[in-house]
Amino acid sequence: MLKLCGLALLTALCALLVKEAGGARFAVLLSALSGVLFLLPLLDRYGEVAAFLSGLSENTLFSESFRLSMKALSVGLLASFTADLCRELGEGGLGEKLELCAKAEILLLSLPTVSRLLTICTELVGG
Amino acid sequence: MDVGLILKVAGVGMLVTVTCQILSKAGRDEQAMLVSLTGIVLVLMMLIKEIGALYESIRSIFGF
Repeated sequence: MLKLCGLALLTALCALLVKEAGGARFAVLLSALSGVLFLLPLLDRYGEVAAFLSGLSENTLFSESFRLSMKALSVGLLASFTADLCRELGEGGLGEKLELCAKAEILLLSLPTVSRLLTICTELVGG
Repeated sequence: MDVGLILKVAGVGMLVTVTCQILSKAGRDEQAMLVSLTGIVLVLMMLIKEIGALYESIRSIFGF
């Protein structure tokens, strides 16, 4: 965490210096790059957690649901990160559209599960 | 965590900005524009490489 804070501070200071020198475009690219560099080690650590949870859910009833929720999570994460990057580079509209596509994708991913749930409910009710 | 990369980009930015200003003051606007473009392309290449690594990491973790 200390490393992250130090890196963030260093990036902010470098961006400020570059902006003062008149290179505002480089400051924006620098911020975007540091955002990517923050996420890389976080994903490595999260990968171990995901592998552990995946192993736990392997031979249970929840393996399919777990797989789907991981996929939905990854779609959300990717879209959120890329949309933020687009906004930082000045293309807010593009970011919004990307987030809309991600929401539609997550909805499509969850449709089979919802359909199965409705079938089970219908069977339980006796319809 | 690659601190050197951030310093590299900041260094490229400063160098390109200063060079562009010197060239503009000397009346060589086209060269200033070319230097600026080259600097941006360089930084973009570094950025795209890291973004590629990030997407590859996401793909391997979530099993796309």
